Parts: sequence; structure tokens; C-alpha cells
Amino acid sequence: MTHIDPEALVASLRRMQKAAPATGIVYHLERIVQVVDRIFGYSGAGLMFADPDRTLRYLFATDEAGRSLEHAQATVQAGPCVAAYTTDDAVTTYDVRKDDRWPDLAALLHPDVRAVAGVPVRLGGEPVGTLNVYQDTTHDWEESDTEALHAYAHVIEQVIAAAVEAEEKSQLADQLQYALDYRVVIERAIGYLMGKHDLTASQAFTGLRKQARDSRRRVADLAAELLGEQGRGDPDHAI
Amino acid sequence: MSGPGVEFLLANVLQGVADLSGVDGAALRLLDDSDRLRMIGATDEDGWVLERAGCSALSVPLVEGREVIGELTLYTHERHEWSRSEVEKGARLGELVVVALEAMAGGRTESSASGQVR
Repeated sequence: MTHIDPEALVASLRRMQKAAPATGIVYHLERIVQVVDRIFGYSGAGLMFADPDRTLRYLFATDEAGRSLEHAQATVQAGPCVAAYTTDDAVTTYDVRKDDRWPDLAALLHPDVRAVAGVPVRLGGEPVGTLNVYQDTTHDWEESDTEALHAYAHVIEQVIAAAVEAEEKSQLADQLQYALDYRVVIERAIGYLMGKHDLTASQAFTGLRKQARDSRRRVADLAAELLGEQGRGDPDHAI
Repeated sequence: MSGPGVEFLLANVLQGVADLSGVDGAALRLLDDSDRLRMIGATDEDGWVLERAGCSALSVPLVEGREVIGELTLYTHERHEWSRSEVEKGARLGELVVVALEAMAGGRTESSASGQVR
């Protein structure tokens, strides 16, 4: 039985609160997905989150191919991750490009996206999004694979719940909505960088993220700046 | 900031980390606001008395920004040789714990962790 010393925990969290500025739930989620991606060693990982109207949307992916996977599913509202969300269970595919369940996806996917697995991320027992991983080759997913994904999704759930504890729920919802909404600006900035510097989408995406991280700015603000627009939104909200 | 909910969530994270690493337990020590390294919690009683219990342990520093804020210890009840991949995975799991702690503290900055065997 796990035991926590509440007094010691409060003293340590108080210490952590003293230093740097607040970042936000989306920043935490991105970092978790990046860590999960490194642990698994799959080709990529990502996170989709549901709108208030329960439409699953792209939130974060570790690379360009993963981004295409989430973007494609958000566009057609079908695919393994959408299915994982609607069925509230793990969904896998040996080769998403040839899977009869989602015939419209292949045309929208980066060629590196082949085997895909998605598991629901829940809050209060209800699915609110999905944790997704993909492989650039076909792959027979085993039960141990999805069990591990469920376990990481469970850690993500604790972090979301912790953020809910730490912040007003409305502010948290605003941060997630901001991230969902500002993906459009980020997509446009990637296109701009590709054209200006003759980059691939992947290079532009990675470069944009790195520059934002290095300068501790939100990706969306940097993207808006590149496009000649003013940084928008509340500076306390981070992507 | 920290109510019973946060303790419950941290307990879940620690248990999750132990399960994901395939070890018998996980323990967490953090610096408090007086820079004392304090025991925060463990998944079982052995985690509180690792030195006496004769466990094999892998401790990874928990780093936030450039600052060490504590350590995560993974342990087995039996003698165990830690492989390089286990050390690396322990370091990554330490990063997860830092993110969870930051969310509990109300949002912070970067973290990294690298493994050390003891």
C-alpha cells in the first residue's frame, strides 16, 4: 500500500513553487508524451483531446508523421485513435494504410505511418482524449504493448487530475481549448517556413518547436510572430 | 495546492512508475523549502527503510530546470543487477515524476533525469 507523507509533500511543493513562472497543462502533457516516446522507442507518439462537443482533435505529436496521423483522424473523425476514444478501449492496427475500417485515412497520412495503437485517456472515469503511438513498419501489437500504453495513459490522467487540483477547472479548459484552436496558426507557420527556407514539413515543425522551447515561448505565439501577427491569448497559457 | 487529492494522485504515480519499471517498489525523496531531503512516500514499507531492508535499489536524480529537487528510487526485494536499459528507463520515469510534481505544484519548467546505480 503506497503511503505519502502529506506534510513533507506540501513542504516540497512549496519549494518548487518559488522559482520559475507557471507553464500550463498542455506543456506538461507534451513533455510526458515526449518521455513516453523515448521510453517505448516507437517511431512516434501523440495525444488527441476532445472538444466540449466530444469531437476528437489534434493536440500534440512528437514528429511530422505523427502529426499527419492525428490531423487525418481529426479531419475524417475516424481512425484507430478516434475508435479508442469512442469505445473507451485500446484500438490497434497492423497497418493503418490498408485497414478496411478506415478507408479514407491512407490518402491523408504521411507514408511513414503504418502500425498504430491508441488508448483512451480518462478523467473522472470518462474518456477525454487518447494517447497514440505509431510505427513506420507493420507491427503485430501484443497485449503487453497495450497494457504498457494504458499504464502511461494512467500516469497522464494523474497529471491532468493534479493540474485540475492545482488550478481552476475553467482556466485548465481554456488552456486546452487554446492549444486546440491555435494549431491552425502553427500549421500555417510550418507552411511558411517550408516555403521560405526550402524545408520539409518535419524540419519546419521540429525547428519551430525547438526555437519556442529555447526561448521559452509558446509555439503558437512564435508561429503568429513568424506570420506577422501579434501574439495572441493570455501569456500565462502555454502550448 | 495540496489536499488529500494530491497525495492520492502522487501515490498513483509512484505505483504506476513501479509497475512500468517492473520492480517491486518505488520511493520518492524531495528537498523541502528548507533544502532538507525528505522522504515523501513509497509504494510499500520497504521503500521507507531501504538501507535496512537489504533491497537492491536504483536511484535517479529528479532535475527541474538545472536544479536537483530530489530522487526517485526503484527497488527490488531480492538482489538485482541493474541493466543499462533499466537505468535509462528509470531516468525517463524520473522525468515523468517531475512533470507530475510540477503539475501538482501549479506549473513549472523543464526537467531531466539521469540514472545512478547504488
